[in-house]
Amino acid sequence: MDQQYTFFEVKDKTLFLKGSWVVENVEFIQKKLASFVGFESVDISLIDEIDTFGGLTICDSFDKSKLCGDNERVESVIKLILQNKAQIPSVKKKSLLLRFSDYLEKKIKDYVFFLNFLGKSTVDFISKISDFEFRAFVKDIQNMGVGAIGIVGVLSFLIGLVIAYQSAAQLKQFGANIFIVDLVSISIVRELGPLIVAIIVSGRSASSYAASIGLMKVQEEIDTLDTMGVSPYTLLVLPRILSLFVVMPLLIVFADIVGIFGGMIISNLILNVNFAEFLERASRVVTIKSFLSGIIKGPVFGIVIALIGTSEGFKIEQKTESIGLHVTASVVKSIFSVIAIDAAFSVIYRWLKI
Amino acid sequence: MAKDLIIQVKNLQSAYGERIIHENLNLDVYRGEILAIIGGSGSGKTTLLKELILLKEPKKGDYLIDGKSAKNLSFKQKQTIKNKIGVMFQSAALFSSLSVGENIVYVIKKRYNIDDETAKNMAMLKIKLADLDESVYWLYPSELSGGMKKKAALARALAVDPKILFLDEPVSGLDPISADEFDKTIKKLVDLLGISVIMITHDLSSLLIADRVAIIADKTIIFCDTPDKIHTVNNSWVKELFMGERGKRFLDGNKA
Repeated sequence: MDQQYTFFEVKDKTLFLKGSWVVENVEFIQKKLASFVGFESVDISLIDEIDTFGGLTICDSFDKSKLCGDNERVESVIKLILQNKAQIPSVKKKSLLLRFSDYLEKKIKDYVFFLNFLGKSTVDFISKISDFEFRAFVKDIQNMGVGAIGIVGVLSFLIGLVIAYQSAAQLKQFGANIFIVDLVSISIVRELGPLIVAIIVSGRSASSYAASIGLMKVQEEIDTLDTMGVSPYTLLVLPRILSLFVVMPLLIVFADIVGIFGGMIISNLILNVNFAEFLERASRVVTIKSFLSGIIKGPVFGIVIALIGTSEGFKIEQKTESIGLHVTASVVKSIFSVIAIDAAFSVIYRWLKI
Repeated sequence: MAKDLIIQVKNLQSAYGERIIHENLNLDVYRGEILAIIGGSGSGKTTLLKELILLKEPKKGDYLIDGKSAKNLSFKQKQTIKNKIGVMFQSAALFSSLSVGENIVYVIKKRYNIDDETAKNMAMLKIKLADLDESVYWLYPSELSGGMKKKAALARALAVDPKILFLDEPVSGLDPISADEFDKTIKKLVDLLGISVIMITHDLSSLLIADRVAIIADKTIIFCDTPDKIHTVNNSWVKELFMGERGKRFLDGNKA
């Protein structure tokens, strides 16, 4: 306990403060302070080093009228602190009801923002079509279409493989080996192909759109475009919508082919359905109607993904968290919308008896 | 002023890849002084700053901070030096997910084991010292104006009472009156707290608060002395800067 004597000394009802009252020692000093009470005066003349932490500790612990002794530096620091000391404004905690209403308000604003975004985009697409950049459109096809071929191929191949593999055991029991063709090709062409592509594109493109537009917004590039009279919607949103509109059906065709190929390999290995038999039956069961019913989902998914991705980008504010939040939201919302729309398609096809 | 060295740079050479930025650069900074560093764009002011705050390793040469060599330091030794310095970057660089008060509290709590209450009061004090209003404590950086951001960044740089304060263009983007106020705030704090300030600046009126001015040109420091001796420098950039229209205002102000 010797160390305390480097900071304190007691002489007839006077507490002498000494040593370095600086930030490194403040923790120790504060612990010791509690044991020094009931002094008539506090002498500060022996302090040889002080900073604002030491000064604040002195101000908080002792009454100013009790301080005595000559020490110009300490006095000036204490004066500075007394001049500038202020209470931290308290923040009122919000009640549960208020927080709920805030949440609702945020949700409603979110939808209003999206409708607003849709409206502005549509108006700008028509009235300011001259701002459209064909190069941006082609570049986006390159990035979001050609760039996605690898991952789309691998995933749809694996899904085809897995479906065939899982159904093989059941079909074998009934000797219905050849029906593997119907099962794999129809499910991939009508449902799984479009869905796999849509989910991959949601993850790849929606997030990329949100982040790139968001950064442009943070760096005030969007405002610059606005002041130039260039519509950010035509320039940034339209090429992306169009590129996904074009790219999605093509990716779906590719996913269909690779997925069926995956199923074909398993059928050949496990169910002894050779490639020729498989293809011959597939060409009969996959009608042009069911093929198109899958392809047609592509452009719809594409537009939805591009709209959600870009609109989330426009919501990004000048905060680092905001970028993460809206990029995540763009992916989650577009995957959700894609699956919901896919369900709607099933119902519509059922009505139309396709 | 006590001629007590706090930073000593010796024969520093720095480079980005093949491109040499500094060659044989020498600089002394004394305790308790305000040293302004000026130089044309691309003369390597920010590079020098980055080396002094241990963000970039120089290629050759050495520098002493508070008497200790800053070369080949262990992680812990680096941290000890970093605890002594406060930096205010050009773009303020406040953490945008924390309020101004929390920004300062975070810096204090990360460096020293100090209880929440003291840290918060300290943050509030620093906000007031930087000439900001109490209400700023709970505001986020995105809700502040440019000048307030600069002041908040100064408050954060002062958070743990650094021995050396580095300011990278502290008044850029401020109007002249706010800039003058900002300069006065810095001067006041330096006098009261006895910190040393190294300030990179483009603003000539900021030189009025500087005790000494260092000029970087031709990859080295060509001048480092009190502001009133600047007219002796024989360099076209410096002459243009001080003898042109802009410079007259500064020289007149300095006499007054």
